[in-house]
Amino acid sequence: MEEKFYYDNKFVKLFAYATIFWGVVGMVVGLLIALQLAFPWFNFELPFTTFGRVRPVHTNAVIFAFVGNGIFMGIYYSLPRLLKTPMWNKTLSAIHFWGWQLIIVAAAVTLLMGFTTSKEYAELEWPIDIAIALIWVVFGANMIGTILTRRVQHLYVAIWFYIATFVTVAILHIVNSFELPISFMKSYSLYAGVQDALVQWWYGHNAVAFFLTTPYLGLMYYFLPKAANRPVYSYKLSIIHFWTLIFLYIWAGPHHLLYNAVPDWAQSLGVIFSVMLIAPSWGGMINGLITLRGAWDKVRDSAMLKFMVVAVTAYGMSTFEGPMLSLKTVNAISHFTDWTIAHTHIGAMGWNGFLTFSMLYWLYPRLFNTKLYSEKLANVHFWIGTTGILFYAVPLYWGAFTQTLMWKEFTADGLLAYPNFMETVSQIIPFYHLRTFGGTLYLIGVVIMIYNLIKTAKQGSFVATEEASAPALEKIPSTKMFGESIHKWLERKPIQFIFWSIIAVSIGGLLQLIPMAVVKSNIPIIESVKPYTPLELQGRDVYIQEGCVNCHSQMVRPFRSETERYGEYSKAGEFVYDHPFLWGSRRTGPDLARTGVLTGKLYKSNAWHYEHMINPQSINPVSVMPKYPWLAKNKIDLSTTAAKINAMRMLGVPYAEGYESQANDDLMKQAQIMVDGMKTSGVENAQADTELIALIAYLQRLGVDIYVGKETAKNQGVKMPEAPYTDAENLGAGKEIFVKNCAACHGVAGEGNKIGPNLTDNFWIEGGTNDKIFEVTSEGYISKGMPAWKYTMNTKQLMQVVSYTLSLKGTNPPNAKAPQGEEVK
Amino acid sequence: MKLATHYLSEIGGISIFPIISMLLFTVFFTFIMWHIIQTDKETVRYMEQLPFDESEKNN
Repeated sequence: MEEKFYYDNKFVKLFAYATIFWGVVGMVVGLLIALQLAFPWFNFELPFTTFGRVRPVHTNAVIFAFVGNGIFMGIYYSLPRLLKTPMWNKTLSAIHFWGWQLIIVAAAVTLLMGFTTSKEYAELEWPIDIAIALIWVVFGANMIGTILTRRVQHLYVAIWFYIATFVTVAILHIVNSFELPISFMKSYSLYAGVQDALVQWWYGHNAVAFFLTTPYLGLMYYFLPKAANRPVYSYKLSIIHFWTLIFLYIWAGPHHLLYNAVPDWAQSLGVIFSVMLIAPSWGGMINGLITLRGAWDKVRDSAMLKFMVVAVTAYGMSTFEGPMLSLKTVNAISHFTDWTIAHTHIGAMGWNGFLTFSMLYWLYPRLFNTKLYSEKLANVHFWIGTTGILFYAVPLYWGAFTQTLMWKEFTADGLLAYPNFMETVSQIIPFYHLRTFGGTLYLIGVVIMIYNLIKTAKQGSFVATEEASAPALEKIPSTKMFGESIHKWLERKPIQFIFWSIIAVSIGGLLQLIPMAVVKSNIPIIESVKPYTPLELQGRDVYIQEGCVNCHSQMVRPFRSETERYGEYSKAGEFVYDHPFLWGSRRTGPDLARTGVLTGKLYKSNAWHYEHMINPQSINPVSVMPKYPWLAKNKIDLSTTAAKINAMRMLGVPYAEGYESQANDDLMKQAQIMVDGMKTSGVENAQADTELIALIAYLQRLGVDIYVGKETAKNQGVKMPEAPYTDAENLGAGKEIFVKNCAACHGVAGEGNKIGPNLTDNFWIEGGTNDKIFEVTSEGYISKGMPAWKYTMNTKQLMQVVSYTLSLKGTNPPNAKAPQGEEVK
Repeated sequence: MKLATHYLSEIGGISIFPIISMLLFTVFFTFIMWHIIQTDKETVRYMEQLPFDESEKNN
């Protein structure tokens, strides 16, 4: 008995509009942050336009708004047609659509306001997390309702991918969002340090797997055969593709933490399963591409199929590159560089972007019952988009290699060839220009598409509902029939199917996370690691709020190139009070794990940090760091201190009972001491109760704990080992060292600046004998911000730079700083 | 990574986790392969035609 029913195209159209709109928003924001990295002026010196806050808007907009709406567009079109029934419930469809758009708007606004958990792709704060969970369930209910009211006995492979997407994203989102709210829009992760990192990257990796990959594979398995008008090359292969992919994917998360302070076995597991993932991924890619066998003539004529072919190829490239990046040897080179950024953009621009465009070019003519306005313009879009991807990715790969090699290069003397981190950034700025150009091309392509689609819509008329008919589903026994294979039985039993999918994806997650749950009691307790002071805790939240983690890691890996540059490598036990962890994934700026260590390579005085945060370019003209002048004015929200202390105690941080009532007093005391100390270094106008002071207090705490009691004593009375050099060769070498290391605080010509004194006059704070100058250079004058250079230079280099400094005497450079200290005749 | 390995090696029988993982996958994969091999041609043909309407049926 044939039944008549109507497909509803309204929500397909709405989701199509949304994916286009948010796609443009996400790409424009992406362009802005690309410009910010090349030209820091584009941070505009405003809190809500600064890189650290804007970058999460880009990633979230592209993943959850652009691709998210693309998923829903494709599913709302293909699911009813595969099941021969309309979407289950129109009210749910409406709640799903409008709820999702509201969440996106709320996400963009709150991220720019500085409300963030700092966990990548999970930055949104707890009220929005709850909203996401609710709307996701609405989507799932609508999908499962549709499946249960279907007129087709068996579920096509695309639907399995949709189901796996729904259940896995739900699990990931909920587990990773366990957080303790301390106020509206502020919460602390329930996990700390190592555990938080493992949960986050179990989530982060699988957000890529189950939000950017599985739903789009489902869409590929529907739209590619439809467009090529031939069934998928091998249906059997698609079954293997599905089960092995969802089973393996969930294990691979720890490959984001190779060489970080996480257990070896978890790292190895991540590597093994990542490498194994090549097999199903390439199976899927080959299945997609060979579906077009004998139809390549169609590809020549159809821009839509061209987009599809490049999308599937980009999927293959990313899923080859991913396992390669998971190998420890490769990861040692790639991690913290732009290689990761290039890799994700091959996926986002090539796979997700191009597949979305191909669906749009295919759907629009059908939704508006007409032909595509211009096949030619679609071809222009294709070529300009492909060129854009190449111009985006190739320079970033090049830049990544350049930078990582500079990070790891040593001189013949065994010292870092590029000890100044900034040099390694300046070197790759030209690549950032090219990358911005590539992104612009890609966006121009999208604008051409929008024009083409609007023209297409105008020349046709919207088909709100499509009539179709199919026989009602005959009742067959729900138990497995004789001679029926288990899988075929599963394919007609969606609830059992969902159950088994959950089992498949849960196994990997559980086997990784259960051992982590028992780790806490097994992390070697480092006695000297203590909770943050109230001021540091507030400062840490400023660090989170401004998104510092987007450019600065806090994880020294156990490589000589890193311990030479930053100091002792990071230990798991150091992070036990870090809710959330802040290890970071990209070093646009230097690692900060050891910034507070007095004897460390990166130590800077409070005064230096103060001036640097307000205007980094005044200290280092080529710096790309944004300016943060508002932090010197914004007051610390003292009303939250008690709640934060209480929340931390509840999470297991050992603050004494009742400490919350005296926390603000301690906070102000510590801040006042800092401000008073900074006055002696020439910073007169610092306010104790500002966010900047809290942030500096936090930075000065980083990495300190494991050094307690281990500071190398300052050697008094160090003598210059030989007479100062006067020959051109040594003075030339000294000048080079001076410009790289000393100029930031003493000026390029030794004229002095806000931080350091003039070195060309006859006035010396610590005394002007050769021995004294050598001693201060070698041993430092920590309280005033002069580092002890003996940790970064050998004696010969110290001699060279001191000799050069002595040769500057009486040169009277322009802009010389007023004399400080005693005159030495 | 001596340090990280050190504290985890002290968790009783930690090596069991990776072993369980590989075993589970092997069993799972064998089952899927066995199932694929014994799926008959007719079923495959029926399933792969699901995206198409009656009028578009093809090879």
